[in-house]
Amino acid sequence: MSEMISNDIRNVRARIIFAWLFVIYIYFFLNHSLLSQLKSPVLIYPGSDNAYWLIHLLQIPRFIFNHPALALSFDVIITTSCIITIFVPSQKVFTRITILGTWLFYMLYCTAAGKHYAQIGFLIPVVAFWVINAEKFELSWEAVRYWVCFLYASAGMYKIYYGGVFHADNMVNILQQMNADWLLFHTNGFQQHVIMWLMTHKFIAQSFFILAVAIDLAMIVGFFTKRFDRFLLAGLLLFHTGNYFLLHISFIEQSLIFAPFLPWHLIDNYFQSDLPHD
Amino acid sequence: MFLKKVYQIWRPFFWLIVFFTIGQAYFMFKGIENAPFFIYSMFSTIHQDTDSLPVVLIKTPEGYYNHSKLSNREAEMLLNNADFFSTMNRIQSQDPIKTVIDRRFSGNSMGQWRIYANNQLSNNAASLARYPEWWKKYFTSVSNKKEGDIELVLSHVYFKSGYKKSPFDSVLFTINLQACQK
Repeated sequence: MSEMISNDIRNVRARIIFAWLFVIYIYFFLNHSLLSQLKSPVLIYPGSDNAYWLIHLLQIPRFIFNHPALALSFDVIITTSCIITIFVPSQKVFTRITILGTWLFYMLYCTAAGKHYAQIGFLIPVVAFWVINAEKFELSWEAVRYWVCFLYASAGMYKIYYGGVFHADNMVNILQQMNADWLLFHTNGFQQHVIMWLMTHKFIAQSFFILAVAIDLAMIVGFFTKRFDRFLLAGLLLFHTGNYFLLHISFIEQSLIFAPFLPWHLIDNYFQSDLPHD
Repeated sequence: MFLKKVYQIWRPFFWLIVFFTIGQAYFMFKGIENAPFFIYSMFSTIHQDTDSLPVVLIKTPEGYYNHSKLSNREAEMLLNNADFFSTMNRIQSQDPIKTVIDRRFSGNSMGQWRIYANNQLSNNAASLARYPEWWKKYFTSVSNKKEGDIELVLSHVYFKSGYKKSPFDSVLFTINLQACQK
């Protein structure tokens, strides 16, 4: 099925993915979440994660947080690199600065927020663009797709392994936990009614949980074929829309994780017709 | 098939994938996360039935501030570390990570490393003391509140016999917003 990816196609994809990442950075900016907007956080949370330990032992978070000018420079460098990559996708330096900067940004944000977030969708697809060579990019892009399949498939298996799927009240208890404070401020409206109704109908609520596990496990199909990618994409959209509606789990930064399942042959063909030919 | 292709075309990447797979399996087995080896176990454990749950709330002179008006990211930055702050305050400014540091740097020859790691990885009484001031600055930037006394409180909501908030709040700290206006 797969056609050889040319340098032009790699560059078109780089433009799309980094433009998408840039939109996510705009979202962070509008929501006071860039490093320079965090007002020099004073608490850190490295947890037991060795990668976090390394950056803290190198004193990177405190050094950046204690110097607002440096935090601002970090934000400017990362967003400028992202813009340069959109316009000149065939260069290596700014692409790699954006990738490394995005990972570092995620870790610094999490340590300041006191929780290591699972919304890592914006970290993964950009990694494939570390290489410029089209043949190598084709392999790294495919590896990223497998990474995403593994991510969801393992999430589904964990839900079986730890027993969440077998506990009839599990989804009701999750709804209570995730909506405990939200319901204090939303005493009416469609969303509130749906959530409250599910909290009193545990069989239906748990059916949603089982559906989520089924969507997670369906990603195993992605290891064997790409023929069903549009269904997997639809499943992921449903999964994350449900998470957003019922559990208020942020969607925008996670959205980039859908990228490997887009109909790239159509997108490539569309843009290739606009590309200059030899 | 994919791995065979990678092995033929780009051998270093093949070994990187092997290393990554082994690393992922190892950390999953150990049950700890080491970025980029994430454990994707969100909501997988059994969530036990409970009568009540703790909530962190922002109390203003006009009533409780509706933090759900903020974006997820702003609310996370304001309230998740507040929970962490409250936990550390309860245990006399002791950062729970100290036990992990002591375990990982337990040998006699590790003394200097242990001191350095404690300084770099844990929060101390001084950082806890500066927390309300930082919180005030961030809250002012994300909300339209510019004056008045604000309390950050820990409370509970009850689920049995209807959905109700406990009438009791325990105050984590009080700040005056006017004091931060220049």
